[in-house]
Amino acid sequence: MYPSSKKIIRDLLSDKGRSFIVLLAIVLGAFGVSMMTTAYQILGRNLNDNYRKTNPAAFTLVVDTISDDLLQQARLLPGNEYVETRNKIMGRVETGNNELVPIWLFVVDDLSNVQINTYRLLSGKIPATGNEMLIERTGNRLTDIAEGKHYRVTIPGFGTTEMKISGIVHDPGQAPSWMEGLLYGYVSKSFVKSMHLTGISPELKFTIRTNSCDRPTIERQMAKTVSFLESNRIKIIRTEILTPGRHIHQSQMDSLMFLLQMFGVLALLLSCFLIINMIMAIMAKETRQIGVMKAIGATTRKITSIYIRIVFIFGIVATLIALPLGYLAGRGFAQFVASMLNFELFNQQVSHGVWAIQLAIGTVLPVLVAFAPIYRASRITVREALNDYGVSDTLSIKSEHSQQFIRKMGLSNITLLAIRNTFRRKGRLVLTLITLVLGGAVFISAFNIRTSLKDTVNSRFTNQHYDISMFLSEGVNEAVFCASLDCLPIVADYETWGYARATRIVPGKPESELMDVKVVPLQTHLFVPEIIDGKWLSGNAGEVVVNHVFLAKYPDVRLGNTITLKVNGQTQTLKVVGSIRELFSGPTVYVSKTILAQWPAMVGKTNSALISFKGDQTDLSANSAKLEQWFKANQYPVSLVFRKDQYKERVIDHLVVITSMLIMVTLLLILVGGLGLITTMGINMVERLRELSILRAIGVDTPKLYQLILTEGFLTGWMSWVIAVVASVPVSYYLGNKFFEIFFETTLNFDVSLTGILVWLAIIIVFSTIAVVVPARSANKRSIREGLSYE
Amino acid sequence: MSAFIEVKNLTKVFNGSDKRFTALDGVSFSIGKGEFVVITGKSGCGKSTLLNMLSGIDQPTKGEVFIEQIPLHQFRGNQLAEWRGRNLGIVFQFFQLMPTLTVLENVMLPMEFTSRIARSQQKGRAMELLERMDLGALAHKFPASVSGGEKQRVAIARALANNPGFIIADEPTGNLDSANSARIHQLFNSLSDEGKTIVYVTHEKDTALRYSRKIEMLDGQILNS
Repeated sequence: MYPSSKKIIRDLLSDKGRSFIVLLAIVLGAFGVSMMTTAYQILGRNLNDNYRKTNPAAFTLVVDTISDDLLQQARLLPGNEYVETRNKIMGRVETGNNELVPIWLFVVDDLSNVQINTYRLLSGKIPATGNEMLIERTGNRLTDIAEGKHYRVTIPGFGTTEMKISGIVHDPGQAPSWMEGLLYGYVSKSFVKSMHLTGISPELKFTIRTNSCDRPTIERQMAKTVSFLESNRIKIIRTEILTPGRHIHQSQMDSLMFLLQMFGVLALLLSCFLIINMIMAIMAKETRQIGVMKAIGATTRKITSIYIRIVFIFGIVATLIALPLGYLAGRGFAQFVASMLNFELFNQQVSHGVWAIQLAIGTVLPVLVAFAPIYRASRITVREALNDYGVSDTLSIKSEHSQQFIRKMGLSNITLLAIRNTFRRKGRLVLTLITLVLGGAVFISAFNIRTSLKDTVNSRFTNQHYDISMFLSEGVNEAVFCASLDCLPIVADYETWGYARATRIVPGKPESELMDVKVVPLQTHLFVPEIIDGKWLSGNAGEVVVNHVFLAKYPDVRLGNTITLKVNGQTQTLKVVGSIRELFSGPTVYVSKTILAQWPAMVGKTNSALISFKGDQTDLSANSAKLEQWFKANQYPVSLVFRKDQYKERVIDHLVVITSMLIMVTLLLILVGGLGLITTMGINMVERLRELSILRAIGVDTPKLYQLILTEGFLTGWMSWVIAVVASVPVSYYLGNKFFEIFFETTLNFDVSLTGILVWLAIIIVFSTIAVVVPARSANKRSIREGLSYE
Repeated sequence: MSAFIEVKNLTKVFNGSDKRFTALDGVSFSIGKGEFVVITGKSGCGKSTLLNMLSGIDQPTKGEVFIEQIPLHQFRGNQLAEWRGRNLGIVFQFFQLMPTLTVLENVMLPMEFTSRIARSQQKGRAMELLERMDLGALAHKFPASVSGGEKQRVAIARALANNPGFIIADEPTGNLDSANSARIHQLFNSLSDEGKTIVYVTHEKDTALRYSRKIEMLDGQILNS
C-alpha cells in the first residue's frame, strides 16, 4: 500500500471523533434519501398494483332493468371483458354499544367468484344465505364488530334484519372504514329478495380488454355498449367513468409523495452543506501537511486525490450503514402508510435504478460536493501553507462606520472580540449560516405545515354552527317534521334542507360522475359558506353555487357560466353565481329552495336537516342518541347521521399519514440539523484552539474564555435562527400550499407555528452551547504549550 | 561552464494591509555545481525568502532564477512541485514530518509523488537511507515517538529519497541541541562530499560545516559572498 493510502487510513483513525461526525453527516443524508426513495417507490408501485389487482370497472351503466341473457350479450360485445351488476345500498348497522354505524352494502352477483372490483377473503366463509354478509377488514377499527356475530341492519324505508358476519375481506379499492366513517358489507342477491328491496336500478360494471386506463378508449367502448343496450330498448339512467387507474386515495398518496420528495431533497441539500463545512474544516487543519507534501513534490492533483479518496471511503462506509437502515425505515414507513390507506405491500423490492441512485448519493455525491473545497485547499502555495499558524490577522469588520458603531455600543473587550471573531471568516460564516438556516427553515416549515393543517381543519368546522347533519332516504312532510323538532327539548336550532344526487350534462360528452346537490334555505345561519369567488345564493331559482372541488373537476366552468344538471331524470340549467371552499367534500352544488318549484316531487318536503343541540359539546353524544331514538320512534327513514365532532375526527384521520410523515421529518431534522449545528460550530471552534491558547497565555481566565466562545456561538446561532424563521415562511407557504393543492385542490390556511420557532430556538441554544463548550473545555485542559505547538 | 544556480536581480515585495515590505532587493549571485553554500544573516534579513525563491516555494516579484539553466521563475504551481520532487531535497527547521506516517513511510512519500524510483525499490531505498542515518531500528516508529535529532535525520533521509542533486536546508539545527546539531552537520558535510549542491541557511556564526562559500545578508541584500 502506498504511503499516501496509509496516511488516509491513519488520518481517519487518528481523529475518531472528527471521523465519526463526518461519517454521521453522510450517513444521515444518505439515510434520509434512502428512506424517502424506498418509501416512494414501494408506495407508488403498490398502491397502483393493489388497485389494478381489484380489476376496477372501466365504466358503469345504471339501467332501468336488464335480463341475464342481454347482460351476457353486452359482455360479448367486442372490446368488453367482464360485466357484473353491483348495486350499492345504504344502510345502518347497530353495533354492540348501541351505535348506529352507516354501511354500504354491495350486492354482488356471485360472492365466491367476483370478477370486477374484487376483494380477497381473509377469514371466515362466503355467505350462504341472504342474512349473511362479508365485512371489509378496516371496519373493526371503526366500531365493535366481529366475524361470526349477528348485527341488526336497517335499510331506510325497508326495515331491519338480523345479519351475521360470515367472513372478513380485504377490498383495497375502498378507503379504510375508520377513515370514512362507514362499514363496507358484501351481500348476495338473495339479501335483496329477503328484504324486499324495490326501486333498485341495476348498476352494470364493465371492464374492457385493452387500454383500460385510457379515457377516450373507455368512452368509445361505453358509447358502443350504451348504443347496443338502447337498441334493445334498455333505458340508460346514468353513465359513469371514474378517473381510470386512480385509487380513491390517490390524491392523499400524491400529496404524501410530494412531501416525501421535497423533504428528501431538502435533507440531501442540508447533508451536502454539512459535508462541505466539515471538509473545509478538515482541510483547514491539514494546511501545513499539504504545504509539506507540495514542498517534497506532490502536485495539486495528487493532493486532491488523497483527500477525495478519504471522502470516498467515508461515503462507502456511510452508504454501507445508511442504505440498509434507510431501506428498513422506508419499508417500515411504507408499511405504516399502506395500513393507513388499506392496501397491501405485495412487492417491497427496490429497483436496481433506485439502489443505484441511493448508492450514488451515498458515495459519489459527497465526493462531488467535497471536490471544490478540497481542490481549493490543495491549490494553496507552499509558502502560504507553511506560514499558516492557525491564527488569522485579517480584520473582520472593515468599514470604519461599523467599527465606530460597535465601539459606541460600550461593549466589553471580550464581547467586542467575540463579535469581530464571528465575522472574521466571512466565507465560513456564510456556509455555517446556510447549513443552520436550511436545517432551521425546514424544521420550522414542518411545524408550520402541521399548524396550518390543524387550523384549516378547525376553520372548516368551527365556522359551522350545527352539531349534526342528517339525511332521510325519502322526502317527508316538512311542516310536520319541523313541528316535531320544535317540540324536542334538546334541539336548540335546526334548518331543513334538501338533498339529491345529480350528474352534469354536457352536450356530446358522457354524463358526469354523480355529485351532491344541496337545497339550502334562503336564510341559512347554521351553515356558513366560505366564499372564494362571486356571491352566495340570493334566492333566485336559476342560481347555483359550486364548491372548489366541483371547479377543480370541471375546469371549463367559470363564474357566470351556466351548467346543466340532471336530477332524478330531469334536467335543469343554472347560472353559477359563486364558489365556496369546502374541504373533505366531493363535487357539490348548492341551490336555494325556490328551485323546488321546478322539482314537484320535493315541494313541501324535506330529506335533510342541520340540527344544533342545547347544552355544550359534552352532551353531544347523549343528545345524538336521544334524537336517533326519537327518529326511530317516529319512523323517520334516517339513512345517515353525521355528527360534526365525529366527522372532524375522520377528517383528521385522513391527514394522519401526512402528519406522521411531518413528525418523522421533524425528528430526522432535529438529528441532521442538530448535528449540523454541533459540527459546524464545533469545527469553527476547533480551528481556533491555538488562538484560545494565545488568549490564555496573555492572561484571559477561564470564565472570560467561556464568555468569549459562548458569545460567538450564540451570535452565530441567533443570526441563523432569525434568518431561518424568515426563510421558513416562503418555504412552508410553498410546500404547504402545493401539498394542499395536490390533496384538496385548494390552498391552505397558512399559519406560522410559534412552537416550531421556539423549539428551534431551544435547539439552537442547547446545541450551540454543546458545540462550543465541549471543544473549548478540551482546549482548556491542554497546556498552553501544547495549544501553541503546530504538530 | 554555466553555473548550477544563477540568480539575477531577484526582488520580492510583500504587500501588507497598509504598507509594502521589500524582503529581497535586487539580489544577484551564482552557485556552481557541488558547491556547499551557507547563507547567514539576522532574523528578517531575507534568508528564508531567498531560499523560497531557490526552491520554487515562492515566486519572485522581479528577477530570474535559473537552476541547471531551468528558468524556475517562469514555472507555476504544479510544474514547480514536480520539479522539486525530482530535483530538490528540502530540510525544514521544524522537520515537517507527516504525523500519521511511520518514519519509513515518510521517507517513501516523495518517491510515491514522483514515481522516479520503481515502486518495488522504494521500500528498499528508504530503508537504505534510514540505515545511513542510523535510523534503521526506528523505521516503523511514528514521528511522535522519536527525538528531535532523529526527526531531523528522517527529514534528511526524506530529502534524499529521489536522489536529488540539490539540497536546501532552512536552519535544520535551529531546533536541536549541540550534539544533534553536530550530527546533522556531519551528514551535510558527507552529502557535500558526494557532490550534492547544498544551500544551507543558518544564523549560527560558528558551525562545523565544511562549506565552500558563505553569503551574508542584511535587509534583503547581499553584504558579501
